[in-house]
Amino acid sequence: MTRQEEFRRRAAAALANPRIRENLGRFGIAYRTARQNALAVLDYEGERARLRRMKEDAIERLPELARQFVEAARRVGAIVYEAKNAEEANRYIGDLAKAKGVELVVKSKSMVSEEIGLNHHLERLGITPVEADLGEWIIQQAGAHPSHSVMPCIHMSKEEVAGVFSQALGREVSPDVGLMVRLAREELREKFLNAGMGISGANIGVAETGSVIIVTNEGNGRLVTSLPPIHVALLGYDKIVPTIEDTAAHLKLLAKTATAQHLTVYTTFITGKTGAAQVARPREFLGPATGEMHIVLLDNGRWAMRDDAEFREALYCVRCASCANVCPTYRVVGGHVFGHIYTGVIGTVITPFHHGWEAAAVPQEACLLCRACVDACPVEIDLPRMIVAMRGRIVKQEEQKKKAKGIRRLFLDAILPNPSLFNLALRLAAVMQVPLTRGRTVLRDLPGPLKRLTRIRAMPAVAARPLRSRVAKVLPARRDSKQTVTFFASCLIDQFYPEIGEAVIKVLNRYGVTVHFPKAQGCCGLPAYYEGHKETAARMAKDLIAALEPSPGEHVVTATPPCGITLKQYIPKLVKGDPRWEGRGQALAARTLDFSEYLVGVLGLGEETFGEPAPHKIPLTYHDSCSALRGLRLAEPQRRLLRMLTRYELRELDEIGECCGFGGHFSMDYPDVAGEVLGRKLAAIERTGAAVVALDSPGCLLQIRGGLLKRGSPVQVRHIAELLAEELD
Amino acid sequence: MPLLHQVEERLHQTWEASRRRQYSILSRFVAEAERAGGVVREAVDPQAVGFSIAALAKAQGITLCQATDPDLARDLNLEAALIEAGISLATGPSPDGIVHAGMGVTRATAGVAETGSILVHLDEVDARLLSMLPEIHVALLYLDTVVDSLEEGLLLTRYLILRSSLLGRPSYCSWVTGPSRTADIERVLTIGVHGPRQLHIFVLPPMGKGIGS
Repeated sequence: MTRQEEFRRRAAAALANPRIRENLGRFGIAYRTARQNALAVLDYEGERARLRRMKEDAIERLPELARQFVEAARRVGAIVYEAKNAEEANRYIGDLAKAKGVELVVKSKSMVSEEIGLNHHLERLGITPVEADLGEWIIQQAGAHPSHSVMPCIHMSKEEVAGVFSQALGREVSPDVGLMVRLAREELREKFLNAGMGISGANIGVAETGSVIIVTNEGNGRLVTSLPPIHVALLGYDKIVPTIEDTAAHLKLLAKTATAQHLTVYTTFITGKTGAAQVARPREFLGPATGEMHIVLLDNGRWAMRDDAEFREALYCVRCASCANVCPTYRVVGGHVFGHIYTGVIGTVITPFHHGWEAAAVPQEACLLCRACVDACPVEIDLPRMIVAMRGRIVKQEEQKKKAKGIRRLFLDAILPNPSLFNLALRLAAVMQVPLTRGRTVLRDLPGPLKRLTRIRAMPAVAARPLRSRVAKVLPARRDSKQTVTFFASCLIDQFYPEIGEAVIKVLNRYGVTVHFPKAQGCCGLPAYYEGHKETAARMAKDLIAALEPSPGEHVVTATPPCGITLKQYIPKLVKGDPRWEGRGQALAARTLDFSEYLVGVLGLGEETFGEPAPHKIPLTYHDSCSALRGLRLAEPQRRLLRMLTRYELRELDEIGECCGFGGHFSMDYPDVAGEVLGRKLAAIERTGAAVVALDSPGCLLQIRGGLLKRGSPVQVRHIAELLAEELD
Repeated sequence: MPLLHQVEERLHQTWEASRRRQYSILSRFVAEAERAGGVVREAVDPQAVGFSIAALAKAQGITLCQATDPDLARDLNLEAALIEAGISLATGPSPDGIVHAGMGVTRATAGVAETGSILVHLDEVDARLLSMLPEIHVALLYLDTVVDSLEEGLLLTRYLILRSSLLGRPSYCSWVTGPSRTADIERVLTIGVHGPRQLHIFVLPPMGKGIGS
């Protein structure tokens, strides 16, 4: 089974349980507001830059800080064990429990213990581990795995949880949240008092004092580390920071982004073990009054991650789960599909280092590369970049194992990079589609193996004539031309939406801009790049540089923001280090502007409207493409252009910035998941009451227009260029 | 110990600066602590605090109240107040009491206005457990130990921990921000999980001894 087929299988199982997406969908909406309110009290950009610098410094100085941490912890009497891998950590803790005659262990939340499978190991030794965090306890009783790192059982309903309680307590428990919390308190209180060992994770380790910092809301962390005579703190090297004062931005942002609190209820600084509680525990456990603290510092791939330039920044993660909370596909399939043991986007990115590449290959398919997680990350970790890097390595491994699928490789590595072959293939399609289209421009239901393409949306027919055949090489301005641009059309506009290209040219010509259209231009290479075919993408980058370089336009203008990102950001990276291409790649990037950006920034449009406003304006809404909003950081120019229109009034969507679920190959490969994401977008559009959706990216247009058509909605979908051209008629 | 001295010096400067604004810092502290779900009362006379605590205990149906040490109980006139209310008092290490006390009374080492947190720095396990096991935690906080920002709170925490750590002494310090809570089941906020269900903070007049002493 290919990884795509396996992902489809897993996603189908998650989609069969509507509870997952209902809970996560509702949570996603509530989270957005709560998080905004919590962050409103501070300078988010300033604090996240401070946290980023702190983590960068700590990971850079890790060898020295780790030594300092170990020494300081030993100074206060802690016993430190440095474990290379899961097996060593498990063996140390298991042997310790055995040697001390421990039968019952209470645990506060530790994702590292999930990482190494500690509970399983202890159970095999006849020791009973009990999770004390409410969510983790529920998951443990249900015999499941957490689906979210902050809220482990977010995928379960209170009725399901009541079922777990009933089974665990051996009596009927009603689905009353307050009651269940009280019962858990009583049940676990006994465990706290009787346990011979408490195992905790740690959010932070402090090099200067050897302290571990544990952040919890329920109070279980303090009990686990105070009541039992032995405390074992389990943490990865990545958690070590220089001093307690360095944790300010970390503590603030963790609480605000993870749970929308100003500070988590208990932030506990544990520096050695101060003794054993003498409370009324069974006498055999009373033992000596001196307690023991053991610290297990775990490598398990962390040092390798530190040495891997592409993945080092994954070590800066503070485990707030923001990347999962804002992820459009996580919110559909949940952490059991998007994740391995660690869940969500960051969880998937670190999986290869802890659990191997095989374990990460399927979950990473869930990423749409919408970049919502980058903005939400309090450490500004570039997760999509690492997802793409992962894909590159996975593709390489599959090639070596001959697991790659022939057709996909043929398309990405041979057809797409060759403009005339690609054009030929689509011309062939344009002829072959005739019996299906019968003259229409949309295909509502494709047959056979193509059925998947139209499961959630209608597809555009391939244009009878591509833009490249419809327009001349030079398209002169209507009036005295001072400005010249080179138009980079993009495959979608060229082959499917030439009318958008014509609208772009018309608007530019009307404003005195002569447009050059170099016919040698092909695909920018984005599909190959995003799917991990980095060498092909680099080859295509060079072809495109060579195609656009001789064209005299002062700027290269594109009306397809994802391709704009390729030209401005990916191409320079792809040719970096190649002396023949590096400078030329940078020159292309510097020359490239998005259509809206060019009109507003260079031509100065958007100051006044086209004329007298129409007496009855048509409501219009605007969908920001992920590429423009987060990739190119463009949101205002498009709105300024829309405000020029005389016939429309802008009504904003209530979930600005949510992805439409197109994601290039994603919506072709995984229409059912993409369809759920699209469904949310269409519902948001409907809530505005708009008759027209404006947007700036042909990919989003394909998805949203196709989705509305499939639903039989009368709402029109137009590229900004088309709306502007219409006013100029 | 030049490092500790440096940290101490910075802490001292912060404390001096804070003292000039201690009432505005206090009002910020009160607002934030209450937003986190705590209840804050300002007390002019420590001797009257015992009666407030007793009234609180009685209203909550508490039968056993435990304070960390006899000095604390005496300072607050707690014993007399509780006897009058018909509530038992335990002080100091009373192992059997800790699990049964409905109310635990402890000192707080400091407060942080920005987050509404109190620092419960109790190295003795049994004393510390009084802020963890009972349903109600009552903490006494001196007005002049409240610092303004989270950063100042961390400076103080660093000082306290470093001071012990350099001498090889373990320590245990928690910032407590409201009563314990969870939202693990269907994200329904529920107050009172493994820790206290209620947090009451009594702010006492300035101690005048300097912070961290």
